[in-house]
Amino acid sequence: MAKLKLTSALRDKLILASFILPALAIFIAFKLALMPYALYMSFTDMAFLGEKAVNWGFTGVDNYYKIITDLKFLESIKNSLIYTAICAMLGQFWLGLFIAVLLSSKAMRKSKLKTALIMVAIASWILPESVASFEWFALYDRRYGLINAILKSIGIARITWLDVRREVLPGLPYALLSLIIANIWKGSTFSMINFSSAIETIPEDLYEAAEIDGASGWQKFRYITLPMVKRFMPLILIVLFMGSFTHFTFVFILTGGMWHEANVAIYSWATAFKYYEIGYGCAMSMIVIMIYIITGQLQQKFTAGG
Amino acid sequence: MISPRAKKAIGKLQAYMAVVIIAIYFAVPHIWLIQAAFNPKPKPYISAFTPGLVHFRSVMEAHGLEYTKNSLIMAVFTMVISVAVSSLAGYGLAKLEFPGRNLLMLILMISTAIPVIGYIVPYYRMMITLDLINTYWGCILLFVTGTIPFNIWVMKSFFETIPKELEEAAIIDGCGRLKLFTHITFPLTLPGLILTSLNSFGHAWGDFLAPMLLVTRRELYPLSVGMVYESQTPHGFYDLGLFSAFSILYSAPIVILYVLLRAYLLKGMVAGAIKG
Repeated sequence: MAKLKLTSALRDKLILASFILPALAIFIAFKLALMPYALYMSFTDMAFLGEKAVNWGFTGVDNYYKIITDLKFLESIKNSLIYTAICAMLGQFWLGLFIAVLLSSKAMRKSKLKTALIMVAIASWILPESVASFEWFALYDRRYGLINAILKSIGIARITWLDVRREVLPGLPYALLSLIIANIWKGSTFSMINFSSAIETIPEDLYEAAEIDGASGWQKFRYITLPMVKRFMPLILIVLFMGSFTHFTFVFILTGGMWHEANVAIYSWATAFKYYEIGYGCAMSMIVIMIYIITGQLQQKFTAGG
Repeated sequence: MISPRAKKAIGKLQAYMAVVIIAIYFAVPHIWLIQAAFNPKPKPYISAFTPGLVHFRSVMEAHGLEYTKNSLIMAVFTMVISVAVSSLAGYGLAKLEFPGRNLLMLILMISTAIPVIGYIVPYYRMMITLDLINTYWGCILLFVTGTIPFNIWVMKSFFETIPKELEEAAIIDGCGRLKLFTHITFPLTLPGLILTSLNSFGHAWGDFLAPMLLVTRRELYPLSVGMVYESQTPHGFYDLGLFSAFSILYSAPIVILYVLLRAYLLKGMVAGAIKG
């Protein structure tokens, strides 16, 4: 009897283990196992076409040396960093928090405006990236776009919004600024939703007590809301960071795929699939993965510390 | 000296104005898109017009239905496969205790951060070797792989909420693991299934990079790639009317699914944020 029970428990475990296997097998075969392969390829001069597609060889760390001397790659990294810093870390993060606080205020409770704002914000969030990107492409149009039309009506000269050569500020081309404005629009909803649900967990009487003590709106935000939502911040920041640093589709469509240095994802795509240097492209991917791992570590540290 | 009541009214007014401004910022691009899709002029910028379906007719001429069919095939297959294997795995991971389980979950979660651009080159070579370039499967496998970690994570947390006593009682009554899974556990995790299905469907439907690289034959393009290629004109410009109409067609399923199932979606997202 005891033996029978043991075997049935074992059988039970085997069934459970076999449940895990298919997903794990797919995941390892089509993603995890490809990482070492990409690393291996990054040490070769492999190409998709031409002589190097057949007669490739090991070149050691040549690709990595080439990366640090490749001005275009450095420019793409710079653009990625600016884009992520202004768009995700400053724009999406704080605008999301601002809207969440605004909507949680007493004045907005049961207001139709609140529902309307949530609806349009969610719409920009769930729309496919290519559609969102196209909407902004049309608004930015130099001759007929809505933004320039408004500027013209208040007497400001037309701006070539998608110009990659002219700079608004040193290091910030117009095209990058346009991408940032458009993507703040697309990505703020995520932090808005997360901050809203964080704010909902704050007990109402904290605010009531503060009001009795005569606290201003800013003070209530600074000393109640902010400390209470602080623990959600590292997670939201890391998700926003990862969404922006290698943002492909959105940037690709808004720039018509013509600006290869727009960010590091587009540059490594161009290297591998336009110039067919896949060894070199893999080396870039490795750099991107390394940046992600380091950022992830930092996030872990902040979460543990905060 | 401003009275406290006046101060309060000013505060309220400021809040309203801020909400209005932000709502305009969010709404204008959508309004533009809708007016452009129904504005029959070749250059549909904001102006007076009588609505027409010219651009939608051009979509039909530009193989719109064929692309929609391809997108649907990819998205539905991705959804079915991903949800099936992830809910099995989520169940296994929730119920089977073994050393390294947490490590396995951690590896799954961390690897989701690796962007597609980080491994698309070796994936592409692999697809050449397996002769899956220019097939639906090349894309479907990539989408399934991309959605598995999140789906496993969601399903695992749903399975963990089912009380152990319920399962034990069923086992005592002579119910096997398989029957338990299909008769008790599965129905109770319906919200999780809806969330993971939407996630997989939306991922496959919305992706642009993978089909752009893995599919080169026009007949196999999904909507995401097809609409861009059809509307592209030289010098990085787009046929605005055509692209707008395509965009409406392309966004419609996502918007409809979202409206129908939004209660489940937000619940799952909030649960995820709090757990993480």
